[in-house]
Formats: sequence, structure tokens, C-alpha cells
Amino acid sequence: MSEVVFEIKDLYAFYDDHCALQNVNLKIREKRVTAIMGPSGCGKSTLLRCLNRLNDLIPGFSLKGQILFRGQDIYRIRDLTEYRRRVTMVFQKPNPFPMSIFDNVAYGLRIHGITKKSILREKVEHALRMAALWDEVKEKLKKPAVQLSGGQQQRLCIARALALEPDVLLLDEPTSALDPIATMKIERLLEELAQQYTVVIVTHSMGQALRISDEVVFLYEGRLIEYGETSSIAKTPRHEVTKQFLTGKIG
Amino acid sequence: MRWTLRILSYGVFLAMLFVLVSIVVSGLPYLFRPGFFTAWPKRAMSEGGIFPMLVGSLMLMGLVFAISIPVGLVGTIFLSELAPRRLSMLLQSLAATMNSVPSIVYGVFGLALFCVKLGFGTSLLSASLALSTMSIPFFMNSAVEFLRAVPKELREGVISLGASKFQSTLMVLRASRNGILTSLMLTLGRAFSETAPILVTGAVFYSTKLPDKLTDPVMTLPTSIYAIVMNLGERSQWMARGMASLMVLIMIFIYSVVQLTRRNKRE
Amino acid sequence: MMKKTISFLFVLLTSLAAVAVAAALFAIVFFIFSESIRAIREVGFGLFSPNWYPVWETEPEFGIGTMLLNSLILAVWTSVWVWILGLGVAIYLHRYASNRERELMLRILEYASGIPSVVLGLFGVLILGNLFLRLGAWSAQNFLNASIVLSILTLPFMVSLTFQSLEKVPRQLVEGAISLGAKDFAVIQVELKHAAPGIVNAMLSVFNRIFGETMIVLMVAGGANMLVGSFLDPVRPLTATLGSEIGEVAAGSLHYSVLFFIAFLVLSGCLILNVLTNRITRRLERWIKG
Ligand SMILES: Nc1ncnc2c1ncn2[C@@H]1O[C@H](COP(=O)(O)OP(=O)(O)O)[C@@H](O)[C@H]1O
Ligand SMILES: [Mg+2]
Repeated sequence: MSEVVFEIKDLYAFYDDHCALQNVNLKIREKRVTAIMGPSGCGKSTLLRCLNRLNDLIPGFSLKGQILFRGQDIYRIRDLTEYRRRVTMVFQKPNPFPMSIFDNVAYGLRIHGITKKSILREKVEHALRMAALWDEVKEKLKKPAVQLSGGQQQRLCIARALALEPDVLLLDEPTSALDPIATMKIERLLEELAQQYTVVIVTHSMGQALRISDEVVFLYEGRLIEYGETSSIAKTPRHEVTKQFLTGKIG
Repeated sequence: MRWTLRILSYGVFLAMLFVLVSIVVSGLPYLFRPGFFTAWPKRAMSEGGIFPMLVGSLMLMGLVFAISIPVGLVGTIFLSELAPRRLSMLLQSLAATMNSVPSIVYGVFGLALFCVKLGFGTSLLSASLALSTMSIPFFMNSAVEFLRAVPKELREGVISLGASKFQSTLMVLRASRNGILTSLMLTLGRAFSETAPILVTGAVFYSTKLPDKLTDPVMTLPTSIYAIVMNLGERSQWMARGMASLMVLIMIFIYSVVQLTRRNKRE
Repeated sequence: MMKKTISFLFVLLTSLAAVAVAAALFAIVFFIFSESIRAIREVGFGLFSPNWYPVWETEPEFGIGTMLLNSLILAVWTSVWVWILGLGVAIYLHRYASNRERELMLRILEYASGIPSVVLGLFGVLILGNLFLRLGAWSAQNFLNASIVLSILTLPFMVSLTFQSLEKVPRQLVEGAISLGAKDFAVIQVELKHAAPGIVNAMLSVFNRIFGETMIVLMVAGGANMLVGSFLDPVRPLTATLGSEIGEVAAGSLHYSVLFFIAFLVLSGCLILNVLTNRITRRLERWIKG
């Protein structure tokens, strides 16, 4: 068994009075792909965003319980900048910054204090290669990123996160806004990345979870209802809701 | 229904066109008189050019910009990026209220506070402070909409990479730069075309020199148009027409820039 | 540590700028009111008498009654025209105009909205005024002239605000009405109902701008302190007196204070109108929701 990266203990999350997560207990392991699944509105994004402490930005959000990152309580972390470098996030809708392709990937590096041109160039190229985007953009690094197609933009966002050489990569339905071919490219990319990184991905599609994840977490109305090896859950779901989800009755 | 409205609309449209064209055309020839932009007015403004008014207006605009853009931008950032929602709404509605306050009130306020209480007198400084009091909320009211229109995904994207609030704000400004340019141009246009506040706080009708310190009074384009039309005879009117034409052309230029930025954004 | 300080300064600075704006509004109200206290104390109800002889040596009179009435009559009369014309043009642009027509008209209207008011004043005096004289009016500057120029000032504004609120009416509503067999007129009614808050806002803003406009009435209205009896009478609204006399009066005199009282009236009118606008639009929004 590999090492535990995240340990979530008795987690409750609230938007004002609305309880979005209830009593979630979960361990996320190193260098594996964990998929978070469930019908929409069940709290998948909320859970994922807690891991990056992105919900801190939402007024009225509060949280009970503990999230340990390699043993350390993340809500006690002072230096969020460094923490978010190690645990980065990719969003549902591609959100390239209004700057050139190169600057997009270099942005994270620059805010973490890397300014030397040669190093930047090297790291940007490396990240773009890992995101399987280099060959498509190497000729037009100075072009605005918004000119890329949706799938390319999403891979650019992944490259942007990878450039920081993170420990964990969080992805919130990264393919739901993309066409099947772009989706396939990204899935293949994620499989590659799983050898080096811990990946947590929210997905809506059972097929995607089966194809790329090692472990799967089912949420339903804010509660964790099932959690384990993807293959075994797919074969023998224990919970009624999971069964319905697998057979496409809920989705 | 359709035809009544069509006739009405064409009527209004032609009337507006007539106003624009007649103002521009009636002053256009004078813009090409030798020395119109570079000479001082002579013989009760019946000869010469508009050099001191032009420079006076430019100085005033420069000062107004130097005061109101930094303050306005920083205030806008507070409204859209930092303030809690309630406070932000409250401040914005105050700014909107200030926008609807008639400009003469800013003049009178400037007179009481800057000219009299603070002792700056009728001066370039008083006029630019009075105009800035008016321009700052105008700018904020316009710019804050553009900052708010930046999708929250962009802010979250920046933050999720470990950026600080300051860095995410820079990104928001970058994303809304077209909108900010639009607000800048509109503020410029508003400040440039206002007359009443300057008339009360900083303008002289005639001066033999340019202001060389901030507490000197100043001649400007709009106040000189007013002075000529109201106080001087037939023989000086050409100069007012020339200045009016120039002002309208400048405003058309400003609005063209605004329209272009708007179109760029749509594409 | 460094970072903490920077972010603290950042928040402090920005909040100061925003709060300064709020403070400015209160400062304006405060200053203008405090300067007009003397007038209220010494002239009292005489302020609303009809006679204005502020520089008469022996027995100066500070009655703004006539000017206030003239201001109100001019503003109401002009607003009604601008409302009707503006609404008509906006409906045409929204429903019937071809794309090219709409683009062209909106563009010209936007340029027209940029004409400085002092330039419109010049237009009123030199161009319209001459026309009036040629048509036999006894004064080039008069009520009608001022009313026309004020309409030119505010029409573009009325059209664009009304047009925008009509464009914001959700498509489905209109399509729903059409699919039920509604005729043109009924469709417009549906749209007007849903755009009502925006339109009322536009109407009150137009009134506010006309009531507070200074340069145009100063130049074009004629300046006679008598109650308007016909369209060709020269008149003097409140703001014209304020604009022409405040620059020449000695600071601190009673006359100065009375002029500040006028400014205070204009300002209060504007603030009351603002509150009213908010109230009405909120009520209309509730009415639309049903
Ligand atoms: N910013 C927010 N403010 C208030 N409620 C929210 C917010 N974001 C999400 N919610 C609520 O929290 C619940 C979970 O949302 P989310 O985590 O986005 O679900 P999922 O990603 O599984 O679709 C939903 O009921 C949603 O309405
Ligand atoms: Mg979600």
C-alpha cells in the first residue's frame, strides 16, 4: 500500500447554512488516480476545492473537521502560496489567462520567484511536453492563449499546473466542456501523469472513471456512500445508489 | 405603428445629425486660419488664436487625470475585489448617486471648500480638484462593471496557483483592460466637456499669461466659448464657433475610440 | 512578514480610496448646507417670495419663488417631450429597425450625447436664436429655445437607456407572447412592462439632468426673472442664477449664502429623486415578478 497523501476526517462543509458535505472520511493515496463521482450537486467540487483551500474565497463558506496533507492540518497552514504550489488545480471550464501561451505556463513560476529567462524557457517547454501540447504550440508561444481550441486550452491549464512541479494534481471535470477527441487526449495524458503524480479527478462519467482511476469515491447528497478500488466497486457495488449510478439510472 | 415610429425616429435622427453637422461645419473653416492653435487671442478675441485656452484645458485635464485615475482605479479595485458584498453595493450606490448630482453643485462645493476654506482661490488647482471630485465616482461607476464582469474562474485560476490577492487583482485588471480604457476615455470626455464647475472655481475670461503655478487662474476652451457667446459681440463669435467645432471633433474622437474598443471586445 | 505588510497596505489603500468617495458625498451635502444656514436664518420664508433683487442697496430681496417655478415648469415640459420622443425612438430601434439602421442611429446618437453642454448653448444662441428672430420672436433666448436645446442634450441619453432596457427583456417572454398569437401592439406592451424599471429610471434621470443643467439655461433661457407666460418668453431658472452670480459675489455675504441655499435645493432635489427612483424601480420589479 502506498503512502497516504490526504487524510480527511469528519469533514462538514457549509455555504451559509446549507450543508454541502456531511461527515466525510477519506484517505487519498500517493501516485494513484482517485476519482470522485456522484450526481450533480452532491458536493464533488466542494470536496475538491477544500483540498486546495479555494473555498476560502467564497463568503459564507465554513468547514468543520480536519484535512491532513502528509500529516499536516491544511487549515493551519500559514504559507498558502507554497501549499498551493504543491497542490494545484485544473478547472472544469478552461481558464487561460489573458496573455501569451508562454506567459501562461510561466505565470506560476514567476509568482514563485523564478525569473531567470533560461530556466523559465526550459521549465515551460518541459511542462508543455508533459501536457502533450508542445508540438502543437512550439511555433506560436508568443500568441495569445485564448486563440487555442478548447481542448488545447485545457491542456495548457494542465501544463500551467505541472510547471510548478506539484505533488498533487486536482482536476474538476476537466473534460466536461470538451469534445470526444480532446477528451481522449486528456485521458491519455492523465494516465501518463499518474505514474509521477497523485491525481484527484472529479468526473461525471463512469466510463472515464473506469478508464483512468485506481480508486473511486461516491458522494450522494453530501455524504460519502462508497469508496474503494475502482474495479471492485464496478463489479460489486454495495450501495443501492451506486448501483443505480452504474446502470445509468441517476447521472 | 411601424411607420409612425419610423418617421419619428428619422426626424430625431436627422435633428441630431443637423446639430452635430451644423456645429462642426460652422466652426471648421476657422480651425485652418493661420495661428488658430498657436497664437494668443487679440482685440477682445476678434483676432488671433486659442493657444492659451487649449493649453489651459490640457493642463486641467492633465491634473484631473493625475488625481482621479489613481484614486478612482484603487477605489474600483476595493469595490470589486476586496469589499464584502454588502459594503460594495452600498459604496457603489453612493457613487451612482454622486454621478447624478448636477455639475454646478460640484462647482459650488469646490468654491466653498477649495477656493474659500482652503484658500486656493480661483485657480487651476481648485478647478482640477472640483472636477476630480466629480470624475472619481464617474470613473468608479463605469470601471467597476468591467472588473465585475471578469469571470470568477480567472480569479480562482490565479489563486489556485498560489498567487496573492494582489497578484490576482493584477490579473483581473489585465483581463479588463479594454473596459478600463473605455472608462478612462468616458471620464476624459466628461471632464473635458464640463463647464459649470470650472466656471465657478478656476476660470478667467482673459489672461495675458499661462498659469505658471497651481494657484493661478486658467483660461479653458469651454469657459471661453461661454464668455464669448455671452459677453462679446459679433466680431468675436468666429473664435467661439471654432472652439465649439474643435470640442465636438475631440468628443467624436473619444467616442470613436470607445466604440472601437467595444467592437474589438465583441470579436 | 514582508508579504503581510504589503497585503495590509494594499487593502488599506484601496479601502481608503473607496471610503473617500462616500465621504465626499457627505462633505458636499454638509458644506453646501452649512453655507446656506445664514440665508435660512436671516431670510426665512422670504426665500420663497417671487422677487429677486439681491444687489439692491437699501432693501435687497432674496426671493427664489419665480425661479423655482420656472425651473420646474421648464423641466416638466421638456421631460415630457423627451420621454415621449425617446420612448418612440427606442421602440423603433428595438423592434423595427434593420441592423444597419440601428447601428447608424445609435452611433450618431452616441456622438450627439458627447456634445458638451456649453457647445449646445452656443448652438442655441447663435443658430437656433437667429432662427427664432427671423421667425419673429422678440427675444432670441427664450423658454422654447431652452427647451429644445435641453431636449437635444437629454434625448440621446433617454433613447440609449430605454433601448438597453428593452434589449434586456428575455427573448422567451416575447416569443411566448407571439406564439400565443399576440399582435405587434400587445408584444410591445409585454416588453414595456418588463423593461419598466429601466425605463422609469431613464425618465427620472432625464428629469434630474434637465433640472440641474446649468450652462444651457444660463446661455439660452433668456435670464428674465418673470413667470413664464408664453413659449417665447425669456425665463431664468434656478441654476442660471446660481451659475451667473456665484462667481461674482463676495464670499460670506448674505447673497453668497442665498446662492448656496439654491445649490442646496438643487442638490436635495437630486437626492430625493434618487431615493424615489430606487423606491419605484424596486416596486416595479416586484410588480413584474407578480
Ligand atoms: N458558492 C456557493 N454558494 C452557495 N452554495 C453553493 C456554492 N457552491 C456550491 N453550492 C451548493 O453546494 C452543493 C454542492 O455543490 P458542488 O460541490 O458544486 O456540487 P457538484 O460539483 O457535485 O455538482 C450544491 O447544493 C450547491 O448548490
Ligand atoms: Mg461541480
